[in-house]
Amino acid sequence: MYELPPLIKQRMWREICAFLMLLALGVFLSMAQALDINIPNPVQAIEYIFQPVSEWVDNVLS
Amino acid sequence: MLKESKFTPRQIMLLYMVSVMGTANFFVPAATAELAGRDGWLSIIAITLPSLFIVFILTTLALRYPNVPFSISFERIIGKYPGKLLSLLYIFFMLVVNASIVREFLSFISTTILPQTPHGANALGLLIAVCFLLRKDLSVVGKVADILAYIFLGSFLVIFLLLINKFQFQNILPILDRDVVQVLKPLIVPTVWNGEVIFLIYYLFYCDNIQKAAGKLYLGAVGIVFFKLLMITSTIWVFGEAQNLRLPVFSIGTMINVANFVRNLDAIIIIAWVTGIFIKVSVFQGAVLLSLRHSFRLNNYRFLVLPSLFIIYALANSMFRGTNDITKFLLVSWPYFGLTFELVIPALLLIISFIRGDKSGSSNNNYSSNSSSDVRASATN
Repeated sequence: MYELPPLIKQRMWREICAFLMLLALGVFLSMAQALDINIPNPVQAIEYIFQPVSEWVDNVLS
Repeated sequence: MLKESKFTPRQIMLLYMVSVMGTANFFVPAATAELAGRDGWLSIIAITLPSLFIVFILTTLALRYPNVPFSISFERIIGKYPGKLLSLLYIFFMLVVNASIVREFLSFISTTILPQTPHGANALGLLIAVCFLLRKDLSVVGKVADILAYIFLGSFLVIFLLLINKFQFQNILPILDRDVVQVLKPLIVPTVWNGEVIFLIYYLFYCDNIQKAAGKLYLGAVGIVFFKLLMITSTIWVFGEAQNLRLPVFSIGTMINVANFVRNLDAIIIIAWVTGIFIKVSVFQGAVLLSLRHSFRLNNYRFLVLPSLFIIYALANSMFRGTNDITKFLLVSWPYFGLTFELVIPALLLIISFIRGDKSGSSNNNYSSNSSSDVRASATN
């Protein structure tokens, strides 16, 4: 909230929007973690996509 | 003011070297030892060419659009909305990479020097420093590199020199006793680490002399290989294959003993590590903020520093359950995930750009309605 008043004073709506979106994402992630709520983990998604590639390369090289 | 907001080519090179070595010099010796054993040093020499190739692809792409920021060049190449989508994908990539770096730092600190301190306190120490640095001014990142990079690089040289009396040079023999494929297998991990040059490409727009800075990045890539070679050969000469050590570079610090007087210099390794991580997280987070600023045409990025670090901390805590998860990610998924964003996508963009014959040289191609120099000047406001 420390950042918001100068932005409102200067009527920087686009910047306010970006700020609130990032803040909401940060708060959501932190709250989900604090409350032990299972949220999609980006690492699992990355592993889901790239692990087959890694296994294929390992097979080719072995 | 305009002059102050820019980076010099030397600063770009130093930022690249420190950013890559901040984590790679500590994890790569263990990774190469596990996959290539005592021939790990050959793998490191072999990464020179692919590393230079990645630098070539990225700098060629950046130099084709010297008047626009890197994230805007996506829009010039593949169109406005696909370009914005690609920018968002890159922001996701950079956030994940940065969060994993913070998590590696927390894990390293808690296993080595601060086992009783909660992760939150260590993270707060790092992220507050990064926040101050980024909120102050973009050029401060370069100035910090000017001061700290020499301490960082010097500490590796000091460790190497003080270990000379512990070296058992026969540990490196026999050379190439295993299959060449086995030696080349770990090549991709350190190559992807060198490919982190992509984060510095975001800063090239703010550089005094983009051509010269691109040249310095090649020099930086060779420098990184040299320092990695120093650390890998040191661990092999001291520990042999060092296969069962998680952080062999940290362990060699404890082996230093010169005349029973200069010893237990693992503190030097800690200094190098913390300095490297501090600069690395700042540089990478700066790239995230620059990308957000340009993609969404924001007036400045300072007000985004705090919420973005908030996200980094939340991601760092939730992405990995423990050190084993980090190691698995770094060895299995990260090489191909990294290579996709560092080489495959930029190479495709470069090919599309060549086919379209598009090049940002004329004034009507400049970023937004402002002249590029105005944008550069306002970047730090």
